Amino acid sequence: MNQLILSQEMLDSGISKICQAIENHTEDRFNKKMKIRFAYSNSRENLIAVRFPVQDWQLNQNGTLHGGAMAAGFDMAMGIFSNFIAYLHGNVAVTTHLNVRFLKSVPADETVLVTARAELSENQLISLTGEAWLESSQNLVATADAAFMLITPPAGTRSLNEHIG
Amino acid sequence: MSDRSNSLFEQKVFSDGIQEFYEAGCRIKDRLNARMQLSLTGCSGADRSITTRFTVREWQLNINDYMHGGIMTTAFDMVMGILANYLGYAQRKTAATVNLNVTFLKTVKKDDSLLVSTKVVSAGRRMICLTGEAHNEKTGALISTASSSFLLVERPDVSTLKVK
Repeated sequence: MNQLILSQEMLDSGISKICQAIENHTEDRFNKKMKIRFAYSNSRENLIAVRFPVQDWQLNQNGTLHGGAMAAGFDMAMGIFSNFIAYLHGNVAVTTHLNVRFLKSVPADETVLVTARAELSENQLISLTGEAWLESSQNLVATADAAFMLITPPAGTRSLNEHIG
Repeated sequence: MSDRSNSLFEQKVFSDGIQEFYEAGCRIKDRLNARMQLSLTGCSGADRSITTRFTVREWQLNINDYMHGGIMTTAFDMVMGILANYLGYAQRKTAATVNLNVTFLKTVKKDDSLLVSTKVVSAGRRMICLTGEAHNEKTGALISTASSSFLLVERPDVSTLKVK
């Protein structure tokens, strides 16, 4: 399992269904509050992109996007991609490591485009890199790298089958 | 470390200052800092550290019903930001996160209470470096670790909080 092979159609369909499921979820959890939407994917580059609007509740005391919210955007984009890959192998993916570099502050009322690029190693770990861009100006505002571990779904946890089918 | 820097960590000065920055950070009610409902539980001038507590709520869970990684990262950024901005204020500067590195060791469930602490590694005129840990309050288990760097930038409209 050291190479990702995903068709464009499979990737578009799978990621967009997960994002839609988050949006339609009845419980108002953090994922849903972030209002992440599927933007595009590229199966040849093992890359997905999602976007989220900067909302008032995500601002810090300086009126710009909270660093934690930016990090959460990366965790979500990478988590969505990792869990889709994990789902294909009958697993779930949990974050083991996330490193975020903040390059520019993000003003209110912006939309942030977050990309996540994945590759698999042989140790049940998915390594990803990410970038965050302002859609209005196409300025790069942050970068990240992360690792997710594939694990057997714990008993009682909900399956992505419920969402992807 | 200069005399002025040492005075920032005199216990009463440090405790009072951190309390003011903590309250200022949570002042705007519906924003993320306030929603996290972290409570300040300890300040140690000798260790140059602060500790906070929060209980994991339903809205902070991910699709697998564990605490969202973004919430853990937010908690670290918030706690480290309080300490970094306290130090920056003494130089009439504000602290902006430039790097945040988080390692997740154990999953966390709803209603678990976490103790999130941070400690100064170095505090210069331009950069502050910190480390952090999160423990499950009930079991003592180490849940997550973090390290961060904050850049101190000039802010003419810096807060009117007084730090002696």
